[in-house]
Amino acid sequence: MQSKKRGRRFSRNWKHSHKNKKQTRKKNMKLAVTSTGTNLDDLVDPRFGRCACFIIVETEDMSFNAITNNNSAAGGGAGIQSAQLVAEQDANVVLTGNCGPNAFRTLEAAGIDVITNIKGSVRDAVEHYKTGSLSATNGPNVSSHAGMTP
Amino acid sequence: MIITVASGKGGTGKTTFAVNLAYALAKQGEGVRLLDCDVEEPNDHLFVQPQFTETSEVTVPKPVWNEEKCTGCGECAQACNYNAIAVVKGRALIFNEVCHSCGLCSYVCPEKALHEAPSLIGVVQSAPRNQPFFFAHGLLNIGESLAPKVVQAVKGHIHPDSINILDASPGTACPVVKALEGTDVAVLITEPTPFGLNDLKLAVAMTLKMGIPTGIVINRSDGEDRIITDWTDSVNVPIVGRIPFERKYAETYSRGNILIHEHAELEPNLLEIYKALCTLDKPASPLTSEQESAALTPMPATAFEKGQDLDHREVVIISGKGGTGKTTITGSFAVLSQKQVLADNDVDAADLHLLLAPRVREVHPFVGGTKSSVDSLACIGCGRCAEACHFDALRLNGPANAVADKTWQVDPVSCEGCGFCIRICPVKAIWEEETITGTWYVSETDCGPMVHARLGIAEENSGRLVTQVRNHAGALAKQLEIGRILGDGPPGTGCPVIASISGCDLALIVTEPTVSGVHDMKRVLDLTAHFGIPALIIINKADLNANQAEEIIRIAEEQQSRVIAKIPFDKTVNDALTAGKTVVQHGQGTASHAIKEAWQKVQQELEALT
Repeated sequence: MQSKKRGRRFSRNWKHSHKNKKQTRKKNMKLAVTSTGTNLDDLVDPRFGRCACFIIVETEDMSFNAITNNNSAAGGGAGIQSAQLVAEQDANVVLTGNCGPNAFRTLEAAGIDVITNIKGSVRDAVEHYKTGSLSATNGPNVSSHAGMTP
Repeated sequence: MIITVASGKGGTGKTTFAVNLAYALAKQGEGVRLLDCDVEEPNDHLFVQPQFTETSEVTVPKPVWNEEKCTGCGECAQACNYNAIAVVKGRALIFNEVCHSCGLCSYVCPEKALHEAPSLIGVVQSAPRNQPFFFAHGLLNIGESLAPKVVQAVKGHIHPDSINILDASPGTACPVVKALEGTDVAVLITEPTPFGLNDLKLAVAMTLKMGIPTGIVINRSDGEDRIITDWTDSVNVPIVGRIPFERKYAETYSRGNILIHEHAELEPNLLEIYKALCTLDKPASPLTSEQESAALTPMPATAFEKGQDLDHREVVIISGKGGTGKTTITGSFAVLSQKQVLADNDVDAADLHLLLAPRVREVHPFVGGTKSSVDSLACIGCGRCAEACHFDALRLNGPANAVADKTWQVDPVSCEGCGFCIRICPVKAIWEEETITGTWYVSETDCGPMVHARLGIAEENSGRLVTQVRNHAGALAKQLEIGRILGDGPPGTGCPVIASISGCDLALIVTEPTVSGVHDMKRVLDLTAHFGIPALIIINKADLNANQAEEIIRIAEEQQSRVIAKIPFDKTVNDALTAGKTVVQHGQGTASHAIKEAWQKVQQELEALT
């Protein structure tokens, strides 16, 4: 159990730890986008808790890090654990298709904005976000268990 | 005396039998208690109409977080095997609906910032002054999963001097096992159809495994019931009685009335059944795996035929109440549609394969979760695991070793896989084991490829197995470019039903014009509305009760749904099932005609979907 935890912390820092400190000052935002694959050109996964992958993107330079979502096959509580995973990545905003109540509550507690109904490629979603035309939702847009199947 | 009424299949007449037996015995001056243990869909009260005067709450311990003591270390979230806790920004968030009340988080918290407090999951209502017998039932709150706890609470009303009749939920899952525990005799209600037989085999396997004297009652009997008797003779389980197949009984039931009040001939029949039940012996041995069910063995593969559709639509057929004719109609639609991927999402009692004669091509094990297991060589018999376990899953019945005369063993039916015992064991003699809880199959039928599955008896996580079946059906449709998936859903409104319909394009609800059919249809319509899935209604046995049929049409309109077809009550449906055929293949009866029309309507509706 201990080693699992250390592993998570390690993966959080391994790529962007140096950049982060400088960029936050320049209003860089860190987006967590639910994705069907590990690239910016893959499609946004409409499910939050059971998405295949999270792509963590820095808005400033479009550098990114893909994290496979091990919660996609969880028996229950996938949304909760996925939200915790995103919080551990220090993301500021989540871009996804749908977000259920448990995940929303967790993200809200972590101070992460949630933007739902996102479609198309991950790259387009991020670019769209950068234009400032997307706004955060006030609550979950689907009910529990909505993402049980694609 | 405790009699538990159970059935593998829904809609075989469990409630009818239990309620009428209670009335028949009470009339004889016996002290009777009728306890409805189907806490997810209790229906007995619709017939008994009791005045509940007492209500007791059913609680389970849930963790409560103390902000001042918490350091945000995250140990609790790490330990929880159900993903019910998140720790973000130094705050622990606890999700009670996901929590299984195992108590592990409170134990692992180094700061003692979590403690357990009772939380409400349902109620038990009782009517001690109800005439002519005591009545009680349990109600599990919607969204809660710990049905066995409420069943246990209902069983608190068992009185040793009375004849206690327990009405269990359909199937062979945990709540049924809970209802059966400690009963003197089990009555399994079945019907003389291939579905009835298939599900009866599962139910018999369960009761014999539990060592409970078992008798079978054949409802809607044709007099001979060879399909059932051929099998029961071979396994030596007695048939204790029959209720004939009569339209007048179905009509009385549809109005919510008591059969023996309107049809006196049934009363001596039920009393005879009771007498026979009292003389049943304990079963000698559980069923062998061959007796349990015909194993589906793979056959040589041929290539699946390819279609030309790039996109597919998924239609899932559900019902709320069991036994309304879901599978009968799905099977007929499959034949009429000719080309589709079929998904049997009813993994607890899969029946579609009985109609469509699939040739199995692939067999896959399903890993449903983890359970604890004790190393009997290392166990020192200290019992700390048993003290910690909130599910009473440890038994001191393992073999002796050098240190202990008896060692602890995990009862796999009770174990919820929380891992508390693993953490508390001072000699690390307990470990976590992945459990194979079911099997899923890919088969070919004359109407396209079919994905189906079978969940083990008293196993959990049927929702995930359903998801597996649907995912694979979706992948096949894409790969073979077939434009339609036709799914047969499970009864009820629980997790497996949610898993069956979420994200599908159209839900078809097959209901029947009976008091319980309407009651359960409302709940399913709530569910489809909740998930924003278009739902259309087919009334089966539509001419059975005109008033209830009107009620269905009214409720449908209220809930932005529509009745698209009415299928008449037709005895040839039963003949078709008995012959192991779909209704449309079997003959030209009124039902067959109506089903063909219904399919035309469904196709139009599918085309209209954008």
